[in-house]
Amino acid sequence: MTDVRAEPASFRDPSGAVFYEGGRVLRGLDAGAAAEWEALRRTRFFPRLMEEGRIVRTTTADVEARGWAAILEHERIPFVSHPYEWTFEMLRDAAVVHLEVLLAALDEGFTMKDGYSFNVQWRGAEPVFIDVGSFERVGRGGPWAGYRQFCQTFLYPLLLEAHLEVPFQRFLLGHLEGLRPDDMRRLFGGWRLLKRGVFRHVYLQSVIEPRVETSAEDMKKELAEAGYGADLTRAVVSKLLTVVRRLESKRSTSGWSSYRTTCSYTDDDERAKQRFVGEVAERLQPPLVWDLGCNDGAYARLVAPHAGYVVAADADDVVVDGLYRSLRRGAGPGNVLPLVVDLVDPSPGRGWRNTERRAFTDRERPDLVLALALVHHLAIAANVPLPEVVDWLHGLGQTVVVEFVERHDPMAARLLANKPAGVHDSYRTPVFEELLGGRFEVEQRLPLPSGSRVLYLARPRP
Amino acid sequence: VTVTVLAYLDANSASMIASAAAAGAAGVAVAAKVGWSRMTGRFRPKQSAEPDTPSNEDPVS
Repeated sequence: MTDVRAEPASFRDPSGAVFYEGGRVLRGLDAGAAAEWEALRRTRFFPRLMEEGRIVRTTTADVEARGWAAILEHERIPFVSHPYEWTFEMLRDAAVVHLEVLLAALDEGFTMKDGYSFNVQWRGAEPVFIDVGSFERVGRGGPWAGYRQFCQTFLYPLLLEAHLEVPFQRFLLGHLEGLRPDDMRRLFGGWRLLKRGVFRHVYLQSVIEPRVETSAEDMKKELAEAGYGADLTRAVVSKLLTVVRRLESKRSTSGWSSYRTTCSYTDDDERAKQRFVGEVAERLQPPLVWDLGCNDGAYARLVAPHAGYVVAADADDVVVDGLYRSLRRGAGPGNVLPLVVDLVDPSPGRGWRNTERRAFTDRERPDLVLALALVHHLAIAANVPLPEVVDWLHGLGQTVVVEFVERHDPMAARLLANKPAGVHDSYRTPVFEELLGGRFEVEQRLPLPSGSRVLYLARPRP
Repeated sequence: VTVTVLAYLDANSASMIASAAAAGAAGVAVAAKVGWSRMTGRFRPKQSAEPDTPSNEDPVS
C-alpha cells in the first residue's frame, strides 16, 4: 500500500490540503475550491505563468478522491526552504514573483486569499509560486486580503535590510507571521518615516490599526459604498511592486565576502581539491548534495553538473546573496539552491507543534555532503568538540567529503590565536583521523600540496 | 455551480483601509471617506485594552 503523508504546514485553509503519496505531491480540494480550480485552469494567465516557470506545474490528478471533490498534482520542489533561510535578494525576488502573479490574476478576475512569503519556493535560483489553492475569483470584492500578511512577511523584512542594514533572517525565524506594523513603526520613527515604502505601508497601518474595530465584512461593504473597486486593488499591488523592486541591500561586505582572495590555498591546493571533489561527484552522481559552509559556492558549482540538486548553505548572508546573484545573472547552473544556514544554530522545527516548518536537517536528506574548510570553524571558532563534529557528520547519514585544516595552517592559526592556550590542544590531524575512522570508512585520503590541509572521502559505518 | 468560499485569512479591517490609502490619490479619497470619523480628532489610543489576536491567520470554523 502506498504511503500517504499529510503536509504538516497545510492545515489553515479548510478548503484544501496538501499531502504526499509515494513521491507525488497532491492537493485535495473541497467542492468550492474545485470550482475555483476549474475556472483557474481556463484562464490565460495561469497556464502561461506555469509555462514560464513562475507558478508550480499543476495538473488534475487521476487518483482516489479520498473524500475530496478534486485532487491536484504539483511538480515536486527539490528542496523546501523557508524565507528565514533566504538572502535579501531572494526574498525580494520571491516578493516580486508573488506580486506579478497576483497582478496577472487580477487582470482576469482572480485574486489571492493570502500574501505569505511561504507561498514561494525555489527551483535552484528561480522563485516559483506554489500556493495554487490561494487563487479565488474576485466575486466577493473588497481589498486584497493578503495585503497585511504580504507587508509583514515580505515587505517589512526587506525594509529592515534596505533601510536599517539589519539582516531580517532571525526576525522571520522568530516570527513566522512576520513583523508587525506597530513594531516596525517604532523602528522607523522620525525622519525614517520618509524612507521608501515606510509611510505608505508601515505608518498608515500602524496608525489606523488600533482605531478600527469594524468587522472585515462590514468594512468591505463600507469600502464598496465609498467607491472601492478592483482598480484600487490593482493600484496598491502595482505600488507595492514598485517599492519592492527598488529596494537594495547596502551591505556588500562581511566577514567572509573576501574569503576567496584572503584564504590560504595555493593554486596547486586549489587544483588538487577541485580534482578530488569533482571526481567524487562524477563517480557518485548524487541526486542531492549539501555543500555546507559553501562560501561563494565554487564547489557547489563544480559538483552541480554531476548532481541532481545542490543545496549550498552558509551562515553569511552577504556571501550567499552574492552566490544567488551570480546564479541568477550568470544563468546557472540551474540546480543550485543557495541558503543562509548557520550550522551551529540551524533552522529548527517551527510553527504549530514545531512541525509546520521543518528543521533544516529534517527535510530531504543528502546523498553526498561537502564539508570543505568547515571543521576548523565548528571546532575552533564555535568551540564544538571535535568528536561532536564527527558525530554530527555521521548523523547526516551519507558519504562525506571532508577537509581537515591543520592547526599550523594560517586560517586555523588565526582562529586559534584568540583562544586560551590548551583549549584546543586536541585539534590535530591524528585525533581527527582516529575519530573519523571510528565512525566512517575512509575511502580516500589526499593531503593537499602545501601540507596544511587533508581531504577525505568517507562513508558512514552503520 | 453555486459554491461558498470562506476566507481563512482575517484580512484585518484596519489593513483594508490602509491598503486603500496605499493605492494612491483615489484610494486615499476612499479611505478618508470610510476612516474619517474614526481618525479625525481621534488620534488617541482606543479605550479598550483588548489584546490583539496572536495571528492573522484564523481558520474559519
